[in-house]
Amino acid sequence: MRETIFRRTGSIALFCASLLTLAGCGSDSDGGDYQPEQAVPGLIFSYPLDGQSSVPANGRFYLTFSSAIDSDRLGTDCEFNNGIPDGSFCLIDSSDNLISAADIDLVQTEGYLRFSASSLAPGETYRLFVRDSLLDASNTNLPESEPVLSFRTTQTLAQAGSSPTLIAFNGENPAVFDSAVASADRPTAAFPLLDNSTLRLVFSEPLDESTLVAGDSVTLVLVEGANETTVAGTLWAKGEHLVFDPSEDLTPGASYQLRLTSAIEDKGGESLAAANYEFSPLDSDPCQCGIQQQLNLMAALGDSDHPSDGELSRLPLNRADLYSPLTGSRGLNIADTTLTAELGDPSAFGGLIPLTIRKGVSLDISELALDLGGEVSMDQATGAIKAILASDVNGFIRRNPYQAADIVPDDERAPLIASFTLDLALSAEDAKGNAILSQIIPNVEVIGTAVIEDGALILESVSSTQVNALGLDIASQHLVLGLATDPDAAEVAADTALPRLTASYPEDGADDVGARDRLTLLFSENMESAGIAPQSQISLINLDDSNNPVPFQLQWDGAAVSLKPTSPLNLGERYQIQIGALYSLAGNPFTSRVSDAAQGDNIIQFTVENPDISTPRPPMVSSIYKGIPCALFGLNGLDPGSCIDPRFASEGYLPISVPGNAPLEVVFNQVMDVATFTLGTSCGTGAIRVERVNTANQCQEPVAGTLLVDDRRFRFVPNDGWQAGQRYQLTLVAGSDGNCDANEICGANGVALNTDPLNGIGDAAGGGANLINVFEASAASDDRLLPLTLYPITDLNGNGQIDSGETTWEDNSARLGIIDFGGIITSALIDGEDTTYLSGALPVSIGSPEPLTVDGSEWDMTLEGDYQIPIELSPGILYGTSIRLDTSVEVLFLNLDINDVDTNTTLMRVREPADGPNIGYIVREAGVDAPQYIIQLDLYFDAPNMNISVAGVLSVSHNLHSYPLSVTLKGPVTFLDDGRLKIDLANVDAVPIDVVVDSLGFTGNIDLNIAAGSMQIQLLGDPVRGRY
Amino acid sequence: MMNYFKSPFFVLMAAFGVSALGVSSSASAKDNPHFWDRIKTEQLGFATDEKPFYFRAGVSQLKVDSSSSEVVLSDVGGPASLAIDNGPIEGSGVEIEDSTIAAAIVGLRLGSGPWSLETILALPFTMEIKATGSLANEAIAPTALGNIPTGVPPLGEKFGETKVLPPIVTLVHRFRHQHRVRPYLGAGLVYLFTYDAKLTNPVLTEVAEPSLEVEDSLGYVLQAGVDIQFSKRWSLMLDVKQIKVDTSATLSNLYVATPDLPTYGEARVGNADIDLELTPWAYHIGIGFDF
Repeated sequence: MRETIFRRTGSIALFCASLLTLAGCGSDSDGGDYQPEQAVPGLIFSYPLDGQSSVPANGRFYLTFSSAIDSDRLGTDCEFNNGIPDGSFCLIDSSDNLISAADIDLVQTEGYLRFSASSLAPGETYRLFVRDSLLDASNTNLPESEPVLSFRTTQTLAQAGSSPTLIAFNGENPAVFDSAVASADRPTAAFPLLDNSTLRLVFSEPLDESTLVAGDSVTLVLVEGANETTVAGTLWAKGEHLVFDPSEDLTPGASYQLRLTSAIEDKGGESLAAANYEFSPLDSDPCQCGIQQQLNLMAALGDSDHPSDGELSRLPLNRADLYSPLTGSRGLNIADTTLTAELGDPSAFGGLIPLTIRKGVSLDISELALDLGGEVSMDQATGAIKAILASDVNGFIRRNPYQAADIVPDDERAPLIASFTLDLALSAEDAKGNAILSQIIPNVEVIGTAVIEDGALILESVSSTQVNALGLDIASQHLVLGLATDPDAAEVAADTALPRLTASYPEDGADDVGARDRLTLLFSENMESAGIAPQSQISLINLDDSNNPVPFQLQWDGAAVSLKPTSPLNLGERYQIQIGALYSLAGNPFTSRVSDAAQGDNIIQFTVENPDISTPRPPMVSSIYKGIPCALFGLNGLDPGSCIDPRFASEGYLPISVPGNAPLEVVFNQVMDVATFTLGTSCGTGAIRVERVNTANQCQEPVAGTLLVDDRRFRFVPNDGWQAGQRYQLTLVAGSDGNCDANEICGANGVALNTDPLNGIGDAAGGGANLINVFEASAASDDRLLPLTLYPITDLNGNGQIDSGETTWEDNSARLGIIDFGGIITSALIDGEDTTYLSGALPVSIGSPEPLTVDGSEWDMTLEGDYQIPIELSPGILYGTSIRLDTSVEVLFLNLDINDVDTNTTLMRVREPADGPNIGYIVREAGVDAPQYIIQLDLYFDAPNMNISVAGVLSVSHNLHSYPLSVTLKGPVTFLDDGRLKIDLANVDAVPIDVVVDSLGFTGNIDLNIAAGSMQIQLLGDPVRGRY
Repeated sequence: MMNYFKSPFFVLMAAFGVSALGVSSSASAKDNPHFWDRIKTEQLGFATDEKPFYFRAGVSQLKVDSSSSEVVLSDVGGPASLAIDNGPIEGSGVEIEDSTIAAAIVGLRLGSGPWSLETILALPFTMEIKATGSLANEAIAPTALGNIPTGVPPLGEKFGETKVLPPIVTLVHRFRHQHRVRPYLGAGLVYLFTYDAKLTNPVLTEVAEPSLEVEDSLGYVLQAGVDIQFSKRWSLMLDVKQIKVDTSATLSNLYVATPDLPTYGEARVGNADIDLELTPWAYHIGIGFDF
């Protein structure tokens, strides 16, 4: 029975167990192991991208790799092996010159590399080779025999001898659009040109911006059969960049032509070959879905997490690092804001997502204190900076170009790449700061990645661009942007500030304006240029010529608008600029106020200088940067000798060395006939010769370069800089006499240059030996030319006299007093004007900050700060107006009056210490707002045409030939309202000039004196937006 | 060493075989009466005249009353995170399609009284899973970043399927068990066995084949029916069961194509979990015999 129960029970259990067995065991699964094809290791990101056509030579370059970099291999120079650079990391120019590892400044962490190279040349194409060995990896995306990327550096130097050419049209080979190329032969565009595209052109060299006129030399035309309609838009131009942003989006599918005429010229006046570029824009939004995205700045100024470094740049997000030797290294933080981006149809362009940000969006940026070298305060700041997107921003988000096209993006090895181009218009809150800073920065190519984090698209981008720094230098600006999509971000309040006229050059009511000066209006806001033609809302008329309009060209540069008359203005005539209905880029109307530069009437009136050019006084050279402004005696190799001096009393100058990146600039003491500034094109030709010479100073070849001319000066910029170690020669030809013959430099009065003023400065002194400066080029330098000119000028025509119509300006003068006389001199007094009015130029080089060594006690001041800025002064010549003396002498018991002794034009020649150039300093003085410029100068004082005679028969000699003076100058460094640098110097100590006369062995003395503070020199820098 | 042919397992198999033969050919059973009698008496300890087992072959229809939680996404990352978040997809759900299968009820009488233990035998069948609500009708990721179309379409109803064998064991009490018409009530357990689960949705399988796992789980069964004996041996059975079982499904490594966003082309959605509450009614009609 028990067995039966057991068996029955077991039957039941097994009944169930069997069911379970039949059913199989549990749930199942299938699939789930799919993985997209993996991106290969190697390069993830680069700035620049391969093929970028305008990358600042002083830019920062970024590379990100998927694995750690072997830092030991970075510092190893490459070598060529069978025509291919051998090395892990090689940077090579187009002539296969390897950039030395020592010239490359690297910052490296794990797989991140940031570098810059001081020796990159402008306008050069470089190739970067990176090999697997740098990463100690294999099977990477780094090519073995090909460069991983190539790029062209921005050409900042005018290229004489070659016409400008268009090298990129919206990042493409211009042949893509060139009407002259058969359609079948045109390359395929890498990116679509869309209906909302801004047109962005890059040329082979800087253009004369004033020759780029919308609707004239640059015309976008809608072509509809025989009908053509000019498309309105905003034109920005700077350097080699041209941007045209149509006011309205283009019509998809319509035919357009961008026409460039030969009126477009480079800085040297060479014309562009006229060309037509045709295109038919695509519809950026065929789905009509009107996608907008709010992009919020991440970790921006004002955010709680500010500052935070970006993953891509390892630098703080939303910051611009500014660097130039002048400004030092400065960080500008961008305040938190939200940008509205339009995304085109993401399905319409094969994986490209078009991105557009409409113009007018502004970024608020922290103020920039203008500290020289970043260390010595200039007591001037910009105030808050506003950067406005001056045209529509265009770009694309796309797959990583360093991976195969079918690799699905991933954030690790194949992040999406976002590239877009923008134009920034800068303005500043402080009026002077605005005048200094405001500018347009066109074609800023911003490259970054688009990765996903917490459900948002994170766009981190980097860019390097170039910024005008104080009008003296091109600073590099390194921008790091961090944006995150944020659908909930609040809209930014509209800019409602009304633009005002904060300054102008010339000032309202100014006299003595240069006939070739660029006229500039400075507004408080970045201004809209679209539709503003000359004589429409900005007019220029000649008040002394029946109010006739004066042809001019407009150049827009942020908050600054420059008027460049097509011909020099007429000397001595009055002109008027009138401002009409202008608008800021934010769309607000220009509003005049009594406190503004136009004093409320929107009118600026000024008078052009009126030198009496009927005076046949030959012009003279005041300064050469870097060089010696006189014909030389004793030139031997690089030893310049001294100025030609009939008395051989002058000591020699120091050999001249010119940094490879410096221009030459020559300043005259008169208005010149610029037509006589003919640059030689072969050895020994032209009135101006710049030649490479051998060790015997024999010409080898003319140096290709551009001559930029102004009324009283010219500047020569070599195409490719000076080659370090090479010897060069600048020659100014004056001819043998005052006649203005061919290939001789002459003044506006038609008299040839006087190159040897110590031989005499009279009307008949024109001509002279060639003024030759032989110099050796040194390596490119961080020192920067500051072309300081004495201004205003009293002796406009340089004849040494104060003529009718000339205004005496004590800003540049030295007041003389007679403190004693003796010997045969029984009386002496200054007849009439006791002040000699100075003119000329004292160009300097501004050096980098150095630890403070100046002993303040020697200058009777207490210094503050830890740094000083060295200022190297070139040995120029200042010219002074004549002083008339009336004296009485007693010779052999005869009392004779010698009256009306005119010094005539006097010269103050800067001497050079035997142990080096003249160095002054900009320092900070305790309790004084402005920085102080201090310099002690040894001068020669000459009055070569001071002729003294007794009764016209007995000549009296004097000692005002190479008479040594020592002058200690000190004064504040400030800025004018129009942004120009101004240095007001005065002599700290009295300057005695003991005149000794001698007649027949009888001597006498007249002790002149320039009392402390009685010698004043006001030096002005060039206009911020350039003189030429 | 155990004699396999004398093992309880073999005995039960033989019983089913006999049952099957009985259904298909009563003549065969008659040809071998000694065989089953010998098993019944020698192996199972029943008397020769006892008929402890019954077998009712027929057809079962599953009318599934199911409900589910919202589909809960997890591990959403990469591009998909621009379009969807971790967490439930609002308004989403799945349900189970009805099924009709051939099935047989096999029972074991417990002694001569009204109680028996029975189960339902059927070949494993495919349970279709259907997307419902927003999961079916709306794209799970129509736009990225709020307004960028992705081109991901609605999934539609077809979602997935799994092979199912839900063994049911119930304890049944027959009323008037000595009569020809024997109503009964029963209750028992069900264990939901699933296997070969897979996604069949064309959207979710365009890029990859994600895994689908349906959790095996235990449930309960309530049963009612009636046996109608129409001959000495043969009976008609009408049976209805309500089954209650909760389970869950997990989808892993989901990818979707993003045709309107070719920059990405595809996006990994991550994983999804769904809780299922199944309350099917199983209707069975069968005819069979006792043995």
